[in-house]
Amino acid sequence: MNARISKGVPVVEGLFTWPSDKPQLIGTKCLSCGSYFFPKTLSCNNPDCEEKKVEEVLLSRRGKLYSYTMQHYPPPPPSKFSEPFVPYGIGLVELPEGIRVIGRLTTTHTSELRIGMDVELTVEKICEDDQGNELVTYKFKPLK
Amino acid sequence: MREVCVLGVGMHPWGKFDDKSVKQMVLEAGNRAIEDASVKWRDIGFIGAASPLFEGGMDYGLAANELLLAVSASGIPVYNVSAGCAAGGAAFDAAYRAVADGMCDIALAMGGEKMPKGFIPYRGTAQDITNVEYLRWVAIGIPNPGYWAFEARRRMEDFGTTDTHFAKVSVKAHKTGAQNPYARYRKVLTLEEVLNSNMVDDPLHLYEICAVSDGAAIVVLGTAEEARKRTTKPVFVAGSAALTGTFGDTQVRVPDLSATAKSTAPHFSEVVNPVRKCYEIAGIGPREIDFVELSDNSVWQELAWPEYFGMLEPGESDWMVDHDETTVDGKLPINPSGGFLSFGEATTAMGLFQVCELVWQLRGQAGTRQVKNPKVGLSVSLGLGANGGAVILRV
Repeated sequence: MNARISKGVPVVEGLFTWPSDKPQLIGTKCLSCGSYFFPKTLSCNNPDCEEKKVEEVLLSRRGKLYSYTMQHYPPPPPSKFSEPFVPYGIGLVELPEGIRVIGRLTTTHTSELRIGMDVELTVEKICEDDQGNELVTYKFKPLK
Repeated sequence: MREVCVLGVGMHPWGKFDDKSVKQMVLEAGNRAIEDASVKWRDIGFIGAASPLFEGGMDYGLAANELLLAVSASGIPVYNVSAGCAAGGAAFDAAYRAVADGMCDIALAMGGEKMPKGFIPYRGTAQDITNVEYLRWVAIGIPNPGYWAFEARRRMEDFGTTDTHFAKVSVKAHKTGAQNPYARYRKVLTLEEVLNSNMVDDPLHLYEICAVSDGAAIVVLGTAEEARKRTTKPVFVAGSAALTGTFGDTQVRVPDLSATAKSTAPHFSEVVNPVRKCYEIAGIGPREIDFVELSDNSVWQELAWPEYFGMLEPGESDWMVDHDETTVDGKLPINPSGGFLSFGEATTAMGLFQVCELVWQLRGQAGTRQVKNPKVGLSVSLGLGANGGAVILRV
């Protein structure tokens, strides 16, 4: 088994740095107004900006949990999850860049969550593909 | 700009009608609206149509053309408009402008939709990194109620809103919906039944989010002169606006993965913007609105939105619900129709379904769910792509 497969294949290329010990989300930043966007955007959409040019940037790994939910039903295709379905947490996380990002949480228990807590980006398995490869996505991990 | 009135409205009941085409449903709603308006099909000078997402419109979004080719090939201009689930509001706005600007004296706005069962499915193909509709499924797995759940959970933190407050909204909706002959779900629910229904996206239960349905609604608009030929008590369009969202909005809107949050934009700007515009056009303030029909995709919207619209103070909705003040007999009746919770969402038809209810209420034709002597009603719909529509009607 080569290293790449053992570490998993991203569900989508270009969303987060991988493989990496400290994965980061890949976004864009407006060169004029400094606004951040995720995922990567083609342009800045601030009507006050005239240049509109954006550059690719890596976003902070740590943020604060702004809100959360627990997904209790298997969502429709093309969603990815292991069978049998286990409910999973989804977080809305505020990053220091002034952007709020949604992503899966590593926990499946709401009792471990509270609004305002620190969370850190990680990458974990989401399911296996038809060839038995481990598919991974970005998730936020609550910090104690 | 000329004064515009509602001449007539017509609806097909909401539900699942497997043996009926959306074209037939639209035609039935249209015939009711034409009769209600005391006009003939040939009197219609313009149609604003919500392009259906799933069926009908000749599979090309051509809903107005399909209707005209079926019932009255009169050669008139039509706009088939897309605005996600706010398309009904956009179609209304197009028809309103056609009359107000003098293009014609009588215009029609229409919406009809037949929905697939279950969660609204992903129909796209593009899988590039900027296609958030693809990414939200494949990288996270979040359906629409997940987005409302974030808002609901945050509201609990900010205002102390409880599971009971949310459940009471559903109980209220089903109580009034049970009295509406056009509603799909006409069963009264208890607080326990709502709280014991399956959890979908914590903290939202199954009976606290809307289902999807088939439905059709049509509104006939005309000049004040045309209205006065037919009635001594016209319903006036005091304001109409179909607008979009503003940069910096702090909501993470469906199907985005993030929000570039700035304090300069209102939360849920695509619905706040058209509501504020309607206040301005109508010269009517938020406290002068007698009742509201709004997109209750979940119970959260019904609590939060009247606060965003300036009708209530932030957090005040919980008190209103605790004191039954949003029922048809309350200080600020919300969704006297029974709302999306009782009807299910027939996406592109909803903006017009809301206008039908405003008209019936303002005319005093709402039967046992009648709001007491209303003078001014507001409807608000939210659509994909940062679309929003609002209408203020008055008598």
